[in-house]
Amino acid sequence: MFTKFYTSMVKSEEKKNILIVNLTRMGDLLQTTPLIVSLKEKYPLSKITLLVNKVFSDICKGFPFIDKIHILDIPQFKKEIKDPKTSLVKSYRKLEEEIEDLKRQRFDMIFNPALSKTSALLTYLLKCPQVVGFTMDGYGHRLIKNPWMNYFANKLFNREYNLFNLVDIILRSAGLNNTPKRLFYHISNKGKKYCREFLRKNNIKESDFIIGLQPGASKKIRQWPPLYFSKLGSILIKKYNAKLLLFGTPKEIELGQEIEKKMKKENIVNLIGKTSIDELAALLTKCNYLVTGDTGTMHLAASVGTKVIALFFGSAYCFETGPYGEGHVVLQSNLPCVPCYQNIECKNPLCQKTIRPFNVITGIEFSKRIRVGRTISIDEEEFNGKINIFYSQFDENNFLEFVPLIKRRLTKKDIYKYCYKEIWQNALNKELTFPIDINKLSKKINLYFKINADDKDLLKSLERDIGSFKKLVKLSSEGKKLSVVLINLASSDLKNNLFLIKDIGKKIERIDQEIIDLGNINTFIKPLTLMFNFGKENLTEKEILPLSRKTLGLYNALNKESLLMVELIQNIFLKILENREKGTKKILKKVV
Amino acid sequence: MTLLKKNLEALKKNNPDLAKKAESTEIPGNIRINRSKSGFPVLKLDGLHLNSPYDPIKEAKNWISRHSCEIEDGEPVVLLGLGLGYHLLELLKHTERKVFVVEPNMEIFRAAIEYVNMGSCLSRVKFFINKDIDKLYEEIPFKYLKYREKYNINILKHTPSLKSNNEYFDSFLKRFEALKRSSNLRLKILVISPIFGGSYPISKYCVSALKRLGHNVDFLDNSPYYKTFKSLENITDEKNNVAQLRSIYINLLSEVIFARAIQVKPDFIFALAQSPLTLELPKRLRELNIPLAYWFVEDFREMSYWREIAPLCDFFFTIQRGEFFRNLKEIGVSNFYYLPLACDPEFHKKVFLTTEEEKERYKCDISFVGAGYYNRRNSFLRLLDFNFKIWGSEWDLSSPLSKNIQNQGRRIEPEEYNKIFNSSKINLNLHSSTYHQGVNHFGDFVNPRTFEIASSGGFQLVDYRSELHKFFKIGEEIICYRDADELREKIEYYLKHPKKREEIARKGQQRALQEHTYENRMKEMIAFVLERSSDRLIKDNRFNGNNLEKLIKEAGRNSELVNFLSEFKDTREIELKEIVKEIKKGEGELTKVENIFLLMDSFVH
Repeated sequence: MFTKFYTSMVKSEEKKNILIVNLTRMGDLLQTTPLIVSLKEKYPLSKITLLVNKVFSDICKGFPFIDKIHILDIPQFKKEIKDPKTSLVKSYRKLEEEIEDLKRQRFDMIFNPALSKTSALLTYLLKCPQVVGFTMDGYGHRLIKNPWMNYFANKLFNREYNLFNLVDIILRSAGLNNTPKRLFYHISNKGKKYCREFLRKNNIKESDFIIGLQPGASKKIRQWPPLYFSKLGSILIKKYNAKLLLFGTPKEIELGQEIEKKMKKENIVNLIGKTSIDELAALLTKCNYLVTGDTGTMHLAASVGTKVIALFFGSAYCFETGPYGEGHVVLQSNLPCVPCYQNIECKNPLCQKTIRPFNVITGIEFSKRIRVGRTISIDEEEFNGKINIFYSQFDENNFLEFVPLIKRRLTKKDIYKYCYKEIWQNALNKELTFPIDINKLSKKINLYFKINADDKDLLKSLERDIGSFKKLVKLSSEGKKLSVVLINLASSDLKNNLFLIKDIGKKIERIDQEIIDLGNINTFIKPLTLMFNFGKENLTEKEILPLSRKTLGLYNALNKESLLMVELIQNIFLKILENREKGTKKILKKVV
Repeated sequence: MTLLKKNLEALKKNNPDLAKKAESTEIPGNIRINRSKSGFPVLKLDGLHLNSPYDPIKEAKNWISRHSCEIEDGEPVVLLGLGLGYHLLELLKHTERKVFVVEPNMEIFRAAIEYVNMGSCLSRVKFFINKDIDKLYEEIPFKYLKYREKYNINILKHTPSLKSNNEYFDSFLKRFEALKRSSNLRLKILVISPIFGGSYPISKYCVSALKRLGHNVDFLDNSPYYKTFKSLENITDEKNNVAQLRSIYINLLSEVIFARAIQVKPDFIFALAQSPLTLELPKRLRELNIPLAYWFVEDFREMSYWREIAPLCDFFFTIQRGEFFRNLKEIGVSNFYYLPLACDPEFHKKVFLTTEEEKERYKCDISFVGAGYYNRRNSFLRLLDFNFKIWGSEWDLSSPLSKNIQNQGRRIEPEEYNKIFNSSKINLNLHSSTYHQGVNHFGDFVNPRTFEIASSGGFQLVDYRSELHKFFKIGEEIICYRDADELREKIEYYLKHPKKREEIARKGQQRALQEHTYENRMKEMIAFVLERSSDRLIKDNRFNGNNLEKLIKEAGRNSELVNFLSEFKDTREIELKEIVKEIKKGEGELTKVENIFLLMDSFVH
């Protein structure tokens, strides 16, 4: 069914019993499929169980290598708990039995990549010897097991400095430094049959230019205006004689009607609320492209190999959750307020209108050409500085990256993004380290961005920022020294040194507070300070000696990372300017 | 000596009032006494035999053999309906305990003592003849239903009597069932507070009490709106315009109540006097099918707005009766109930001052806590020669009392009351009046201060009120005065007799804590609401699923769970959110049980 994706994967003979906890939605579940496939590749003798919420369990039937799907009927639990006629003890017992049932399966390893309290509590209650991801400690505090998962929690607060896709973070957290470079969904024969009949009934030929449109999104802020979909549809029909398929859930029926109203009815088939997930997946395989926001359908399209033209704005950020695979085009709104925080209610979502229908057409055109080994130059004016257009591919270290198709002026945020990407790859990966090749990094930045040698403002700003990084170096050095003293005191005569130990403890607290404050004041430092803080929160040692050792470890890491940032920033800009003189190369690898 | 005289002689020893009434009662024409086939007198009321016309003794014996198994040990026995007393006599042979008889018809009682030899049984029987239901439930043993937990009464019915006086006994039994049921139900109640004033703290005590009774209480606290409300008077000097602004503001607050009612969907709303209710609101609440209970904790003679509000409420509670009840009936109100004020033992309690500063501040021979009403300003001038401290607002700081007024007459918070009550040798209590010089000799209701001082263990001297003896034994549990002269006399006496003060304060406290708490009042209030409601409130026991005792029983052998649930010993009903609240308050490692409850909570939130 699935061919091997790794040319060189060190397989383990261990028979692992693995549980993957994912109580979230369709898109999140699909993003777990590379993990499933990779685990199976690494541990071919393993058994993989997927724990899902009943509401989203349908999609799992198409996942590869799942030996068992354990469905948790959360809506039913919720209903019974809220019902005053149902005894609390009855609900308690039912849940207890569910947990005992899972415990009886004696998992060796649990992956919980979701930041929810429910999944963390469940993971904790299952008492597994090896947990990767989110769990709890015995006192009800969040505990993050694994540096990459720590990073995942961190990234929620520092999104503008993150370049790692969620799928890659999950893979790396499992110690898998390779990637199958796609998502997975297997369409059933029933689904395929449905698709064949559908095409026949609607007189659609395989050779037709078929575009799928997914107008709905989980949040209104992520919904492209229906009028734009209508206009796009009209252009697609006029320019390509395209056949359009409208996709969506029953909740989006009205939205679909609104879009159809403003278009000519021929060439459109409205399938909103009419397909199962399997049927949807089958239909997607027949689409040349899917035009969509950041939705589950987008991930499904990527899973079945359909190219996506994805529209990202509002709280959606393509670097985090963009379509996983090569050859997708992403239009990302570039307004200063993007991406916004997940839970805010924007009163003026200008970002929704920054991407216009003709931008999408450009994306399609680009994708069409690149697939046959050609390129097009993209008119910067058309993209008016408010949108970035990206193309997805995998970098030399197998991380998904979105390559800009328009070179925008380099900002220091861009520099930090790429520097942090280098640093985290080193800091978070215990097995592999990638030496930071400043030369290579600067060449990449040269390729992706417009650099102005006379950009004195940028230089000045970088210089100022270096000062802040150096403060962090100093603080972490002080922390290191104090930790060493603490270790020595704790190792020698704990009883008699108690007063001194307490004193040093207070000093360490003050340094920690200064570190946090520094991060809050200078947001570009926050990725480092927050990681450090998360590390501290996750210390579970109770005895002074092991606690001090771990603390030293954290200060050490922070010290190294901040020194590295200083070095990178100090050298990168010069290198960028140097490389600029040597000319540019082709942006993209040829895609067959 | 006739049977009547013999019976009356015996009755006079235990109940002279009843004996007097019975003696002066004549047997009317609709009551006929005939002879049964077995030769015993039998009573016919309006053509209906209340005893067997064949053999009333045998009938009584059969009756007791059928019902004797219902008599449980330890519980008082109440016989509903007397007839000519045959059933009573048989009952007395089967129990050693005192028996209580409820009979609404004095004429029947007269007939019974005239025609049947009651003999010595009269000393073992307490008769409630022609007693108003409300007053009946103020008597032992019925009043214990209001405040003794799990208290029960054996009710035996003389069926022919019940049939002949259906309405009376129906009311009695409804009240009885409601009082019993109110302990086991868990209702969702929305409590509405006033914006400010004396009834505001009462609303908070009610909320605490209802929660302790295990009800699910939502409290709409209107006090945050007081500042704005007060500020309206500064907008204009025109009084009419101020009134208009206030009215508009009250309209808004009424909408707030309505919106909250839609949100909360309570079983009923409980509003205190001075709550910001417009007259339109009760009608709108009725459309939502939400009953409105209103506690009018005011003097009906001082505040007349009851005329508008009472007819609109589903249940109207008062702190006065008699004339007030007559007035309410006149305006067509029927669901009214006498509900006196009370104390909150968790708030009104003994405190011991520890710092010298506080002791210096509060210590005195006599204290008074309250606002400077007209009668107080006059009366207290008589006490200038005592070590007398006055606490509260609206006093005339230019009067001779100024040296006694503490803190420049600023309003004190209820939290300070206990300190004052426990630091003064005598706590003075004078019911307010805007038009009496001193004591209102016709004063009926008892103010909250009376119960609060008693509950906190303070000794008080309170002006006489006609209802006061119903709450405390005057002379033993509380001391009264009727005018300023008597007040001075008693102050001088009790200042010299500290042990007597302590004894009386102790007994008063005991009585207050046993009978006069807001928990007891709220239980009564709910019982009345249940009694007069449609069956929905009684049958629709939606929270019964989480009765703590039931849950513990259901937890069965799961000792971890049983132990955990048993920690909630002061709760009757429990919801998940309360469990989670307690878990979050705890310290140390979470147990498996706690984690599972947290997981349940995470599903819901």
